[in-house]
Amino acid sequence: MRPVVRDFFIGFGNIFRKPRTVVFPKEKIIIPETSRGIPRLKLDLDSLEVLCNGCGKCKAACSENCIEIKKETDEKGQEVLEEFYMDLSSCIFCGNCVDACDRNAIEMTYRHMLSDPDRASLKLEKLDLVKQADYSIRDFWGK
Amino acid sequence: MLIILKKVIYIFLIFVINLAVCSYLLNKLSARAELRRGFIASRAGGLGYPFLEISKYLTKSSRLNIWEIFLFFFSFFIWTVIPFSQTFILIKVDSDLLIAILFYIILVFSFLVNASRSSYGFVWNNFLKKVLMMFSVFIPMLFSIASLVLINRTLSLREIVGFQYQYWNIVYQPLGFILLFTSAFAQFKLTGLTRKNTVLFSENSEKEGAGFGRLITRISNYSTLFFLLVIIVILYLAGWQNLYFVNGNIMFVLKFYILFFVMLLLDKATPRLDDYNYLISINWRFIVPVSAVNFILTIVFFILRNIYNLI
Repeated sequence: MRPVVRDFFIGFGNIFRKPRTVVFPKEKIIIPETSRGIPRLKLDLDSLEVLCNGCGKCKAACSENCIEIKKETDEKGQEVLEEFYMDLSSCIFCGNCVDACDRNAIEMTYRHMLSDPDRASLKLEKLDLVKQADYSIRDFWGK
Repeated sequence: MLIILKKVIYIFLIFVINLAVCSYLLNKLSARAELRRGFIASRAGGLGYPFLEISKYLTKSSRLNIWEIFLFFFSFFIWTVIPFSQTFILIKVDSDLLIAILFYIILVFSFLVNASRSSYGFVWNNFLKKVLMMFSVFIPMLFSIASLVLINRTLSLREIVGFQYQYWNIVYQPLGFILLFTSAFAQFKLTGLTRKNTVLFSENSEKEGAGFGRLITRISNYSTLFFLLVIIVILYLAGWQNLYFVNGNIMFVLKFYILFFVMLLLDKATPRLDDYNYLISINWRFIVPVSAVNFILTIVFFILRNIYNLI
């Protein structure tokens, strides 16, 4: 009998409390600090070039095989990154690529809204991944 | 004739308004009790929910069986003998309590038969099980009503309300009130208004008559709930009697909705009653004996007072 009475008053109190659910586009709540969104490629702030050298460790660490890397040789004979593709339709946002990178060239942003009518637009190129820097600041849901 | 027609329209309007309000509250408050937001179909906090639900049923198939037609008629017939005030009653009979209970039993019987049908025929096993379950909540209800009738010495609902001008019947029969409320609450849970219940839910209700028939079953569910609440308010809580300066009709509505609100919250706080053994163990081992004891005590009191003039 006691649990019934307790639950009765809890339910009664809940009516006057703020609901936990939100109406998504209208109302906003702050994104949790540890949440993982789309990965982004970091830039070297002096030269404004991508930190990534295309070593391929992130590709090896990726369990879903959604990273694709193309390298080229520059005039000095060094291998540099030519193109970096990431297929977000298969990415599970595990963060293994971030852990595997020695140069800290990749990090997770807070961007989470990915729905798109076109599947091809979920495959991001190097420039798209660099542009995700806007979302590295923690913001509200529903941006 | 015009007066009767006017009353019919009034009663129908009261029923429909209550249906809209209660189905809205049932959705909204039960969601808020779980810290959800509830149905938000329209701008005004989901007020269009009942109408949307009706349209949801109407878009499906419109096949009906004979028991659903019974349900439809008896869910409205039941309101012909229930008084809403001293004069606001459609058919004035002296023993309207008896007729109301008779109509209610027919309504519940139609429920049970309708719920025991399947695509292959009538399932006797299910039917008898459901009848036993309903009996276990019916008997305490009948016992408490019988003890109340003994105290008031009338079968007329209007006279019972009239007797309560000084003290409400809950003062004389507190145990009876608790038992009737518990029985009504169990029936409210068994009708499956808040969550799908296997007791009064047909095996094929999702396949046959999923549209209009389901809508009728739903309306009848609400009708049984309203009947139980109104009977409790009239029998124990003095119906439309004025309370100091508060108008009687307002008091009637207030008591009705307070009881509805309490039932709704209790429904959230208690587990579902579709376990046969659980229901039987609660009712046959606790509520039925207590109600029988209450009835016997009332009879003893009645004999001592009216036959031997001892009290």
